[in-house]
Amino acid sequence: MIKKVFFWVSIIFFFTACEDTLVILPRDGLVKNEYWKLKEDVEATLMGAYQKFAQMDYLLFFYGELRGDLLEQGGNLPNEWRDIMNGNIYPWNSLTAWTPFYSIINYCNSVLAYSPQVKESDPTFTQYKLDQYNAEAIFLRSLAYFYLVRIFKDVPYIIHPYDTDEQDFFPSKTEGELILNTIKLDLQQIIDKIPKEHSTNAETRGRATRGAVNALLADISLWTFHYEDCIKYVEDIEQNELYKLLPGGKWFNLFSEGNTLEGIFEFQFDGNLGQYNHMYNLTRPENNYFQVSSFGLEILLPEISNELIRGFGTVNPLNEFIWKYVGIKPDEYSRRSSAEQADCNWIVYRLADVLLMKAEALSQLGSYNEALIIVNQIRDRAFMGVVSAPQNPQAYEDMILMERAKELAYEGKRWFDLLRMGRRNNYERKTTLIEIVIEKVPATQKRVLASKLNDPNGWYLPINDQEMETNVNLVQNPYYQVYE
Amino acid sequence: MSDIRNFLIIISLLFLNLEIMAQEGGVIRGQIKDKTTGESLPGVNIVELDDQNRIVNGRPSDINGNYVLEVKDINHNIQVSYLGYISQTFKINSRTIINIELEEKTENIKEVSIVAKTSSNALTGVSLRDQAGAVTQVNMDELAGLSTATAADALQGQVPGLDILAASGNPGSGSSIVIRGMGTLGNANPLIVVDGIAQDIKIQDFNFASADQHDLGQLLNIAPQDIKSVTVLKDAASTAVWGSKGANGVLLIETQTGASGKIKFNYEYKFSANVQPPLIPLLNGDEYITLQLEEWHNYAGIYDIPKEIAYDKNYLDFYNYSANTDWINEITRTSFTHDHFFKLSGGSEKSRYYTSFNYYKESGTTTNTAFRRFSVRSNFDYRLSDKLLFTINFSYSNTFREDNPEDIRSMAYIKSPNMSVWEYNENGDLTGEYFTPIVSYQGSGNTFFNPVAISELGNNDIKGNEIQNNFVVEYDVLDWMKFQESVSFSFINEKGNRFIPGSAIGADWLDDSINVAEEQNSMNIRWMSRSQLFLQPFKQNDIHSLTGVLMWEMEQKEYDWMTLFTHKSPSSEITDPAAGSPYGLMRSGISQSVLLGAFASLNYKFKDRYIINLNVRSDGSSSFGAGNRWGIFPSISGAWRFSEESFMDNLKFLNDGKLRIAWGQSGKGIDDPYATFSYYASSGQYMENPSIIPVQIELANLKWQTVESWNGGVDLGLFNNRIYITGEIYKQVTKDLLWEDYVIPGSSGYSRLGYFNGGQLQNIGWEYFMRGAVIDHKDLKLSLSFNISRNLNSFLSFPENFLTVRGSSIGNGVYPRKAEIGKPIGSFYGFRYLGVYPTDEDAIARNKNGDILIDGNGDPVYMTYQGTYKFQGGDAIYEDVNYDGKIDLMDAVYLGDSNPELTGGFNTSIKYKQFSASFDFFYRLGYDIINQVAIETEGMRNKNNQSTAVLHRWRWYGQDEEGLLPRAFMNHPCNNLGSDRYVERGDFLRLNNVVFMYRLGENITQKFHISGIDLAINIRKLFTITRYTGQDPEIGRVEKDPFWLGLDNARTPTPKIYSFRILLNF
Repeated sequence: MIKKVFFWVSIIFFFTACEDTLVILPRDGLVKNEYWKLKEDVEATLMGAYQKFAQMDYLLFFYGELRGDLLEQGGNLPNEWRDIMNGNIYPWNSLTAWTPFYSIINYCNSVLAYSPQVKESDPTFTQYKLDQYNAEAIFLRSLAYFYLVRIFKDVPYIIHPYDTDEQDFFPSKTEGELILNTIKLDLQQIIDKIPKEHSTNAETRGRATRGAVNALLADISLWTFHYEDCIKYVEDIEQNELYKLLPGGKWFNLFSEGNTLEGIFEFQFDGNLGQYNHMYNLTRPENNYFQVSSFGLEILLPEISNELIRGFGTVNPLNEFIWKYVGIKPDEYSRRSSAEQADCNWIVYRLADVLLMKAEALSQLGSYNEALIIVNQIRDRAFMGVVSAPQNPQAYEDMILMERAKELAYEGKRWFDLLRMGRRNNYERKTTLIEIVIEKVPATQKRVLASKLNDPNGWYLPINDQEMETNVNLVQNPYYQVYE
Repeated sequence: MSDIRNFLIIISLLFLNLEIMAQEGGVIRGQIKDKTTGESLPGVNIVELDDQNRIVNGRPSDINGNYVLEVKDINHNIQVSYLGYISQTFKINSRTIINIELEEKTENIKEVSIVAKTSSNALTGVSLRDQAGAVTQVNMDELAGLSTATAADALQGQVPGLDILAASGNPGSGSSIVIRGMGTLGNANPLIVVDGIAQDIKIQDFNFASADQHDLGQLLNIAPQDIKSVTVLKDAASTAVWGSKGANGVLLIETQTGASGKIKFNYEYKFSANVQPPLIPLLNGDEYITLQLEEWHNYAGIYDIPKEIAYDKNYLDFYNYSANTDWINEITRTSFTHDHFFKLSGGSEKSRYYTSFNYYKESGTTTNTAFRRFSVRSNFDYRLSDKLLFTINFSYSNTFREDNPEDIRSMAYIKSPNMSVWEYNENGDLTGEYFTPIVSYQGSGNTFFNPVAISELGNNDIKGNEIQNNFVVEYDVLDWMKFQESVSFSFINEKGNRFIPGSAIGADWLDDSINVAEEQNSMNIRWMSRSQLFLQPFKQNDIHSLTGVLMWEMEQKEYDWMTLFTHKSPSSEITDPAAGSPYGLMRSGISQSVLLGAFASLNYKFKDRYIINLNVRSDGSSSFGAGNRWGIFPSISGAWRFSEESFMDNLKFLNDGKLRIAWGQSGKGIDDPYATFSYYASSGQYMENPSIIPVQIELANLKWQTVESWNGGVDLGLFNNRIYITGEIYKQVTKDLLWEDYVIPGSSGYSRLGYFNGGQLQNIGWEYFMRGAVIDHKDLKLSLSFNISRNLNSFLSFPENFLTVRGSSIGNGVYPRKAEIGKPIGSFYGFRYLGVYPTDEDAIARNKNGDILIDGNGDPVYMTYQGTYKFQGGDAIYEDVNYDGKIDLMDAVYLGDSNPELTGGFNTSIKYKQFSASFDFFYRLGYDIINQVAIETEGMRNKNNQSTAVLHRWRWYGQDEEGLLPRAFMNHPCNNLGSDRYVERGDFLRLNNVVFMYRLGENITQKFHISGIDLAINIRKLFTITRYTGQDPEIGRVEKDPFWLGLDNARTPTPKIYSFRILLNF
């Protein structure tokens, strides 16, 4: 009897004491060991990176427009956004957090790190597809770093995925120049591996292509003042039959329809698939977050500027609000509705943009006439008269800047355009930048902001204080070290 | 599951074993009579017992008292028993006719203990008397007569070191319980054990609207009347047997069992009225409009007056905006509670039974809140033989909680009082609809909803069903060895429904917030098996006593959940999310976990004086990664009963004296079963391609959090044990502190790790408890008890790269939160508020010596807020701590924390003949509250309604009075900063319970053929002495956040409860 009890008790001990009992895998999700087996896994994570980037549309808008001169503060503007606009920028402002960019970088790094092992296990995964996915990942990662460098200047450069707490989470910063040179090399290497087009038009405009890589390379080259490179990459796009300037009458289709012939790379939204952008909500007049600045009205209000095509499309003359993401037609009344309400694509690069980049590069190299042809090409498309040729570099720069402001208003470009001007030739035109920027802030803020912008280090954002505190290896960006 | 199967095999083996002992049989017959009257007795039980006193055979006597029994073995015993008579047992001795005379019992049958020598609570087999750790037992009979929904409410202020706070005054909102301070980050609630079964199921928080906690839902499901006793285990040495689940302390709840004897019926009814403490007086519509106009004027000078506050008769909504509505009053009511409790209990010498039914229905003091519970509990034990005992516990409860879909109380505090509840047309006639404009003066109708409409038309209900079964078999293997096997199973299902009809909110018919319907379902299943071997290798004698326990247990849990969310259903009548609404969101999930535990304990007692107890507990959890799954936690404790020493014999008044010391470790794991995996999840799609992204980092380093605790104590029984004193002193250090959502650099692509170990937290403190029977006569009894405890909580260290600042932003109503070494959890920082600048000139900056600061041009420097806003007359003064003329983050100083310094209670009870009365006081001292309600209702910087305190505000240039509030100023950047202006001491002393009870005399009760009637009146929270200006200083606690602030955020205060109770015994 007793022996039996002992026997069974020991049996119980024996069976249940196995460590195996304590190993339970989740049933409603994927653990890493079970992932990275099929090529579909690689593509799905790549799509995750695109999707995440697309969801950052409002941040791309903020970083490109808040500090520029096309926006004015609306009554309901949240304080954190208002502070950025006024130049009251502190490391505790949540817009200084760079985590969203690094999430994308982490997804891309995961694709790049694990796709080779997937090729081992999935025989249907061809080298061609592998190269394509990796190239797309490198494109997205480079785009993220290009934004980071333009916003923060020096940032940690990370090219491995994070997936266990045994890794080192405390990188230090890498110089922005170095990062740009590195990603430029990366992009040059993938340009032959990336497809020129994808299976559908939407994928061709919504995923990385040869055209998109060229546009990004042109943008980086222009930012680093390598004008010949910029021209070379834009020319490659010009020769690409996929991209054509839309006729002036169809200009607003860029936004209301999206994926037009002019689009080179657009983050895709489709309300019917439950994918909504932030831009509708952000720019709808009811919310009154932003108003069009007086400069914006000056160049874009149809009555004043005569900019019928871009004016009616960019701002609504009725209530003087941004119309690109809210309207369905370039008139005063036709609003987006139902499923289409918030599915305007976020255009990263379109042909007019890269052509104006080329014009800027040409003008900087002294090829004024060639540059003027491009500017007038863009103006002609907008049914605007031909401008004559000012024969000095600065006047040329201003002309192109103005044309970009009109053509690309509220597309997240303005602040970076201004910075390019301000940084050029060793901050030669720093005061111009300051004058432009302080124009839109309340009178009481003008002097304060001017003195802040006098130090070009103040043109970049501080590292978020949460990031500073959790990573001892980071040094706060120069202008903001007083807050540490 | 394998050990459950094995267990069943064992059980069947035991039975088999017993069956093969049968031998030759025979037949006996006879008659049974009453010894005194000689009447024959029908229905008497005649049973045959084997050598282990197991019933093998039996039958009742017929109507004439005759019986015939075919016995299996003539060597067996025969037992004859009848209710109300003394039963007889005798040998058959080859007789065939046995007539029996039974003798009637003269007095009520005393309870015969047939339960095991060790009750299920004492898994270690050590009696309470010999405990060397920190243990307090509360007998719930002492708390009888209290009108509480749960045991937690009844225990408030009764046990030193046990800090209980009601989560909210809403019915069914539960309580938060902390033993000896916050020793852990995140959930610090203790483990609740009911009849030996740990109730550690995590209840999902279904309450969409408020931040109420429902973690202690288990206690809500137990009728307090079912509870026999509650034992609180506080230190690691006492909780050792419960392993990692008990790391925050343990509440052992023992439910009632039957007693051998006649069947007893018992019915109890309580009726209560619940009344809220006085409401905070708010401005009426006219005062509000005056204030608003002043805010606009001060902000923007001459201003285009918004039409809602312009008193314009031609305005279409004039009648809708010219009311004097008291919103808070509209949603507050006096509510009632009904509590029916019926139980029956009884037993024979072989078995005991107890069954109770409870129906509890409480409506809340906030409209549309209620809680209903129906519960059944059945405890049954049966002695199959002298060596074998079988116990079944069964409980079922059905709960229903009704709540509002939005936090209507916070809204009622700030809603414009000039708005009408009901809608008027332009002629001033009521339309019969609620007034819910799409945009009101205050803003969007979605945000500034009509609280009455939301309360009346919306719903937010949670239904719960819980079943728990527990089977225990005890077998005395040998004189010195006993085997016990428990198997328990529990099932909890919850379903939450929330609906906000479009007619209750102000929104466009196409808005996403129209007809929002949500449904959540969850199912919790748990199996537990525990095998125990009690050892007593030496015969107990006066000198040596050695006992030991070996235990092995296994627990498996599964949690399934599903959520549905839709909006814009075509009609407000379609409240079910599954009923074809256009937009939907669906989520579901499942999680499983396994916990293994082994425990060994050795207890040695020498001469009843020296006690030593050694425990080792080992826990294995599936929630940790390979290599970190097992934790070993030893403990040792010793006690010296000095009162037994011969040299103490002179001290005649000392009956019992014991010194105790204990050291132990206990471990705490994590609740999340899959937190350690590197995890990928679907994130939707990009274009039409599915997307899957990494969402979680593998936690290879995650391990058990260890609490090391020291406890010293003394127990004294004086003057014939009429005075009982116990004192404790302790120190607990939590190592490898578990951080939930630990912030890491965002450059990793993640912002947080699910969990992280690092740093140390310390709690030191002492406790004192005293109980005295001051008068102890037959007719008059007076007893007093008192307890007090002190706990000091502080961080000893932090991990490297630790983010000490949570919320470093400053601004109106914002308090930066920081963790500092040496400071407790929940510390908050802010500005020092010094009053109001009477004039612009007063806002001049000064240096340390009081000299005026001068700028580069020789002009005086004026105080600014962050260098941008210049302070003016009527603005709040904040202390410029660093004398730089700027009020910014650098001027924020430590303002306080929300951990109480002293907690406790005292109690008096008097009994005179059939009358008794008791008074329970509860106090909590030395903690700070941030009065969020005041922040919202005294800021005068937005369109919110304000309290009448703002009538005393700065209104003219140069005004300088005591206690003046700053000026009204729309969108003022800094008049309402997080400062000590809103930090108040929460200290309070509360008369928690008053009970008057009268037991009707027998002469009356016999008329109704009832054995007893008790009548009682109970008043709960009769009065509170506090300097806190809010409604209730007993603010809830949010355990989930380690940087939690003691925020009074307009939750329903716990009401005063007046109740009447009647108890009938049959």
